[in-house]
Amino acid sequence: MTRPVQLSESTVTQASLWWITWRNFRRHRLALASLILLIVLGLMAVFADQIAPFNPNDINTQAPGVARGMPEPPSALHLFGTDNYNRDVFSRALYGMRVSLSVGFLAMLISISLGILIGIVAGYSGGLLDNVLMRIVDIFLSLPSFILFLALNAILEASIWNLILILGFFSWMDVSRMVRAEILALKERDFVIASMSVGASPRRIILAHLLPNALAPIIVAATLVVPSAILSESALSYIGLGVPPPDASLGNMLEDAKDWMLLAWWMWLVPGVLISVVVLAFNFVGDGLRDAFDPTLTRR
Amino acid sequence: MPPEKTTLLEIKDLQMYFPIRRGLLKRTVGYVRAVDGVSFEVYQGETLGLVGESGCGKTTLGRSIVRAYRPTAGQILYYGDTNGNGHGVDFAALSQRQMRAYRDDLQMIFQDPYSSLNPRMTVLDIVGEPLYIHNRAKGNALKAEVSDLLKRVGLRPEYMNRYPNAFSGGQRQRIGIARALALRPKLIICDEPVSALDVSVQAQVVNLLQDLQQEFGLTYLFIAHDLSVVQHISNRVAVMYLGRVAEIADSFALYRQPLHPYTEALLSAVPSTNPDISRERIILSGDVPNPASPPTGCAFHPRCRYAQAICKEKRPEWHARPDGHGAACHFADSLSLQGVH
Repeated sequence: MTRPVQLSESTVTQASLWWITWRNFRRHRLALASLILLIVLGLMAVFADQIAPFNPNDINTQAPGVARGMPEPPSALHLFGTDNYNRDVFSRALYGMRVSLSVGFLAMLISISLGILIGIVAGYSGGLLDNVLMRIVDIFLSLPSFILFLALNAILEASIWNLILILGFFSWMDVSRMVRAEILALKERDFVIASMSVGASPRRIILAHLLPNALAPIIVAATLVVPSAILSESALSYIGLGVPPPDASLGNMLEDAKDWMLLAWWMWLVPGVLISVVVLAFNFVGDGLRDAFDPTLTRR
Repeated sequence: MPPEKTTLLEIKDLQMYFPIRRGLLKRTVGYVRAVDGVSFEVYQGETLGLVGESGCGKTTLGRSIVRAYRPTAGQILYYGDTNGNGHGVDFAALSQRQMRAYRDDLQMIFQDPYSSLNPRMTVLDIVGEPLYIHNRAKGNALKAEVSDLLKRVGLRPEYMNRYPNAFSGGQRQRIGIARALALRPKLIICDEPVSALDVSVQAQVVNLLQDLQQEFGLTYLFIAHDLSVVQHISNRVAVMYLGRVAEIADSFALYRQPLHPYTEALLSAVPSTNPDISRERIILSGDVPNPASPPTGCAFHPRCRYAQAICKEKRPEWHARPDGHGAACHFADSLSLQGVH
């Protein structure tokens, strides 16, 4: 009935949808620049061990400034100066960035996984379960999350892992709402009915049909969860409840700097600028992705 | 039409109600009666046209048959099962798991060629999905089978690694047809397969469907809102109005001499190919009534120009003639309605 067809050479392939998205994204200059910047900063954070000229937690008691308890201004030796314990600000910034980016990414992974899971269960099952899950979302959204962070941080042992868990568990709600809305709309599409009518399992319908088509908004949401987690981490560290000292994070570097605002501008400028730049870059990338995924903007 | 008629599918008093929920607690405040007591038979090898206005429940009926919905009441009896004991299998009573055994006999072609193909899957994955799910083929065998299917619907197999967005509406509809053929079904529900296409492409797709019917001995339930397309392809035609069947007849008889005033009104909208014959154009006033609160008596009476007092009070009985022509109208036997010649 059938004969094998020679496909190897004659098969016509086509730019995949990811390639089209990338093409659209490239056109968004600011987003592309932001992405490159984030990759560079990310690599610097990953290779902090190799790049950092000093151990970030080393206190040099022999340094001239420390005797007076004074930070040293930027010099050839200390590119961004030192803090009041004579720790190298450049090295601390690298390690702080590693901590902040890790916290942002891991919290995002928790938040997105929870959001996708709850959104899919609610949207796909519908009915009572959907109702109950969405009311839970409402409750979580109505909690004053920052005050809750404070309370939980006070109860739990101060550690990076607890911080990541807390940030992740309190930022999945918007994602789950969005995923649920996507699933509800996709579930009624004909290709899903077609798949159901050939007897596809719910697992296959979710994994092959629903999730891939909901991926674009999920990715956009993910890029926007990272900066908000970084900001929360910084804020918590600033008030002394985030990453415990002596380890550096961009937030607790700011906290160290708060007594030296006028005397040592380099102590707050470096972490402050890094936080702003990273958060802004993530938001630009998110915007760029949103436009790139939007099929109505597709140009040939 | 073959001389002896074997029933392949029998719909018995099928109802599909959708609950209307209101308020925080989602209490059911009423039902949309999308399909409200439909009965008809589909014979082996024929094409049964199913026509009606938007919102009359024809799509819901089609989707209920493939069990995309769980019908509220009634039976969907399928006689195509070779192991059957002659009584037929009631799809309406099966669980999704039990239904799986009959999925390969029953397929669907959709109206919207843009919504019916997953934009994130290649043509190979789309057409091959039924084969993959039913473990019919894998790897190179799957590719060979898909390329064979694509050739049969008039597409070049070289394009199987492309995504649906590379194809035109007519080509996409052919992909949908290839997918429906993959499991060699006996019955295909065609849900307005050409309504979204250009007229020139419509003819190609209709001809393709007819060729495939010959080749594979398919039975079609052909849903449409356009009587002229249905006339071309159908052996028999059922007219639906507001979740019920208004009239069923052999295609020729229905067009020649309709028994239901609603059919007459639909026929008057079919353009005539002969400019010398001028027919009276019957314009129905108003819209299709809300299926959540259908009119009393005959659902068509507010728009019917022959309506009498009884139409408002009593739901019409089914008037069947010996030749299989039947209509749900109190005056089916007395009215002389205008058809198309």
